Amino acid sequence: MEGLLAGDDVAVRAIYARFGRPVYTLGLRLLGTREAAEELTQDVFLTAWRKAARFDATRGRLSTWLMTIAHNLAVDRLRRETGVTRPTLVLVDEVPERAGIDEGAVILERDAAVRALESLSDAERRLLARAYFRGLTAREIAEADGIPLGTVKTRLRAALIKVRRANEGKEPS
Amino acid sequence: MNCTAVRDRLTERALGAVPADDAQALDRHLAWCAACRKEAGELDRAVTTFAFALAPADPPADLEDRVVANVQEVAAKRLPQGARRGKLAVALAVAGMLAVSGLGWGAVMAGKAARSEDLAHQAQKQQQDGLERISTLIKSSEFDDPSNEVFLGTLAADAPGATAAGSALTLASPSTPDIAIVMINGFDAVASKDALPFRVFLVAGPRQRLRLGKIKALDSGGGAILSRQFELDLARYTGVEVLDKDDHVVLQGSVSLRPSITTPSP
Repeated sequence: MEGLLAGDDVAVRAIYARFGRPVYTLGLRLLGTREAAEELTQDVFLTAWRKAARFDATRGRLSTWLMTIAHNLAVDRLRRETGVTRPTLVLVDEVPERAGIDEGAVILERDAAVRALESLSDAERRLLARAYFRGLTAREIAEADGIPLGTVKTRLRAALIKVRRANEGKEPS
Repeated sequence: MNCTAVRDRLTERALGAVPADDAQALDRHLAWCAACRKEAGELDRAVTTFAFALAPADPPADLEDRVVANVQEVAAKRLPQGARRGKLAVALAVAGMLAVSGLGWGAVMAGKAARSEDLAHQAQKQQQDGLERISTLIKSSEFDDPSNEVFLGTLAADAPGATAAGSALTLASPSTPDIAIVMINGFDAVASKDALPFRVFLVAGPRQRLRLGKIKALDSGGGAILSRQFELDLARYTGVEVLDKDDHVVLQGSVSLRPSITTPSP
């Protein structure tokens, strides 16, 4: 992180090599266009540079920190851009064919993530996707579905705890 | 915001489904509450899974170079550390002078045989005005970074009828060293002599104290200013304590975020 803070070429490239694609992918899926995904990726790395001094490895993982920055920036942008049609997304989707590229670590990482999400029921996946991809609050979901707010909160929390348990010891560092 | 209220929102926070103001309030609590922070961290990690489960898309080949060039360009604009420190010292001195000349608390307090609570309150109000001016200075100087967070607060004595009071300001910045300034006044300069030196701490929880410095003497108004810069994040140090030489707390209080200072200029 000190390298990132100093704008060190090797450090920034190392972090990009590890997280550039997941950040870009999240941007593409949430924002819908390549241009927006590229801008998001730029913004995420700049924000990470600005906040690098505050990253505390004893308090959290780099992957969590960076992807949280990416998700927050993307959701902020979606909220600002009123009238934008948000893509309907699911938590687990099909993997396109990627022949000829050695991406063992990436594939293993995705496999682990997909397996963790398979511990959820379809209803739980849909519920989490509405909050994560669409930025709906528990209250908005409760009102849309006509169910008590407390029920939505309990279901969201229970679903996340399932993911957390399925993930234990398998998350990216 | 207490722990129960915070935990009720942590799932939504992790999912990015809380408004920015609410998220800020939650983050302020998480800055000092280790138990809630642990819970939040676990939920954040679970949510990260969603991004990694998406079918990966290929970014354009030149995006890496653009990202690196962008970061390097912004990083290069940072002033060298030595220059920054020099400017910081000057700014702190100016800030201190601004505060003192604006307060005039020596004139208010000196020569008063009996200091009423009203006078102490008035002096504290003037101190607060002085700190507001420092906030303005920070906002208009080279510290003008939209990510800067300025925390302000007042300090009070527990003892009934005590006339001593104080104010504190911390600046948490991602681009310059963080700064803390504590001003105290209203102490009886003669009677307090035996209680000196005072030691001033920033507090982040029941066991986390950061020493700001020592006050060895008080001015004629029974006051003093202490400031220091830190190469660590002060955002989670929201408590302030002033102890006398016997470790008795003579003043304490907390600082909280000043949203108006953190809002970027249009």
